[in-house]
Amino acid sequence: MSRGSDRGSTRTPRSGTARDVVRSLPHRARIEVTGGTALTVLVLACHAEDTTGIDLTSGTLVRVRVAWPGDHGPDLSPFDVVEAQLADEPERDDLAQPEAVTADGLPRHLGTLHGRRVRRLLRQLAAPVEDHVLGFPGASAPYWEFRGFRPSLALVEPTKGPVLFRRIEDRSVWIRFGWGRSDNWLPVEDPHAERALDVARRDRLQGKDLAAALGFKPHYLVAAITTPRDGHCYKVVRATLPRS
Amino acid sequence: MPTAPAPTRPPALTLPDYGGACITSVVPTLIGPEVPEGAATIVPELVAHARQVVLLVLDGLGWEQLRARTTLAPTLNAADGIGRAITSVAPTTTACALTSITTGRPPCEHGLLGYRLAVGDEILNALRWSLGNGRAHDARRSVPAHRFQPCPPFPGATGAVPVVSKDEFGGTGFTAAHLGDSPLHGYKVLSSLPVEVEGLLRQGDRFIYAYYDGIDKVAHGSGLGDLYDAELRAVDRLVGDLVDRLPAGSVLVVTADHGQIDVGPRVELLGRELMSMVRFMSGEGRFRWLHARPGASAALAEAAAERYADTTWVMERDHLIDLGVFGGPLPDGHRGRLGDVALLPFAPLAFIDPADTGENRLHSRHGSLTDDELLVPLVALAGSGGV
Repeated sequence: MSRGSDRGSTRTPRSGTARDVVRSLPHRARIEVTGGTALTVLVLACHAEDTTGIDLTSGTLVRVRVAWPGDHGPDLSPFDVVEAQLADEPERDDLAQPEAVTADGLPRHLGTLHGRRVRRLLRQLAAPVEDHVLGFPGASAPYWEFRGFRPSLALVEPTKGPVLFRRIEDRSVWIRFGWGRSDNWLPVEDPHAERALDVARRDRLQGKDLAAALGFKPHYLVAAITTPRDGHCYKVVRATLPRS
Repeated sequence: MPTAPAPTRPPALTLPDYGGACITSVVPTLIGPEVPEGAATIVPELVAHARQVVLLVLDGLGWEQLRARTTLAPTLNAADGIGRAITSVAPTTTACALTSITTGRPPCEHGLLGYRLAVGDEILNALRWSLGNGRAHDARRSVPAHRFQPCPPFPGATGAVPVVSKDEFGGTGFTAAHLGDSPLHGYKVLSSLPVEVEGLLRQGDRFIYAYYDGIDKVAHGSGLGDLYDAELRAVDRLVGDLVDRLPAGSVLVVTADHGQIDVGPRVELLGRELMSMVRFMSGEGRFRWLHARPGASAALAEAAAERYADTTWVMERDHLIDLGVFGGPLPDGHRGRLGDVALLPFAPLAFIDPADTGENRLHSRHGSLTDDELLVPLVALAGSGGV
């Protein structure tokens, strides 16, 4: 069964679970980001800007910038395990996205991981509840205000909601969720969540209906800071995820 | 050395006995003049000598549930014909089954093939006769009932068949679809039903159709527990009351459209992989149609079959049709009302359509082809005056 196009893909055929691959990985205290390093990543979200995931050797959140060819869009799914060869980047550091690295070519699909191991990884990486998602109030901030002191990714476990909805004004898809005492409204850049509204033929979903439309109960949200758009970086939700 | 568990094989699928011991045979057999081949023996003996017949359809009263509660429903459980069941149709759901009862035709012919059906790119809720979700709109004009369902009700009847049903059902799209122009003698409260029926019998009507939906409502709302048992007792008393009012030469025949299965909170989520191949859904929780994204039908069927092998019959539309699940081949116009892949659980669970508001709250359900859902009673009772 194919998920997306296979044209020019470096993906191996669907290979069941990736447990063996993960078991054989060494453990490192820090993520290795020098050019030529091969990262083994558990994918959490896949977007044209980057693929967000967990580096499985260090347990670090990472966003891998992949230059997807024109005829082959981003087609990785959450909990795919991929190997990404890092490119040489002498000026790698992006202060707005300190977790970003660049892949040399397309990531190689190794398999899919589910169950207890994923559940444990996600639980360990869930952001502790704070006053603001991604460390600052509001929906965006000017690019020049990012100094590399804040994460650009957060695995958020909503404490209330979420509610997925389509705005009347421009039909864009948003998600509303409570996190601690904050009430958050963020745009969604997750094609699966957008499709859920289409499947349900509704402009607003929550609770069991949202779970049925997504195919799972949404437990985590992958919140991310975008690359600059008109000088500002925006908070978005790149994926809704089950517990495992 | 431990051995791997043997793969679970789904139980064999029991098909409706179209043309034989099936609800499609009831009305043609009772009204005549032509009794369907293979159905001559299904009607209890009492009926053969009756001058007047009342057919009471009890929505949601499954034969299995009735036989498991003999002490709660002594009248029904002592009736002629209780020893064997007849089958409903597929799907075992009200819109489809009631239409099969009144028209005497299988779903492939009448085309009301489920609770929620695809009409172009929209979904028709057959019971509400509405299109769309949320603020759904009345579809009586855009989907005329007599065109959507072309088979006339009560074929073979010499005159209009009086219908005794809830007052509020008068004028609805679904009533028009399965009862046509039959005159409605509406009741507001249940105690009026026997009185209305008795009045029609005294007028000399030879065939009367009566309908009551209490059992189905209670089962959906509360499951097959104490409230269901209480409702079954009440229905048994209703049957007793009707029998007491039967004049000499008349007989009461009782059947149902489908049975029930207690699902409780067990609702299956399809998972990201399957949902990524689904365009939308139709049908009902226990006969769920998945409408695939273009080109994804086979992959969707394969993935669903792999995922639900131990709980659900997963079949593609054409395979279901070829098996005769709907009673025969479907005309092109009816085929488009179905999805690409059907999920029919044999385990007590349901697949939820997020577009169907309120579906989450049902305790007991039906639609699939388990014995609990498929088997219904067909019994007859005569009054004290005899037949």
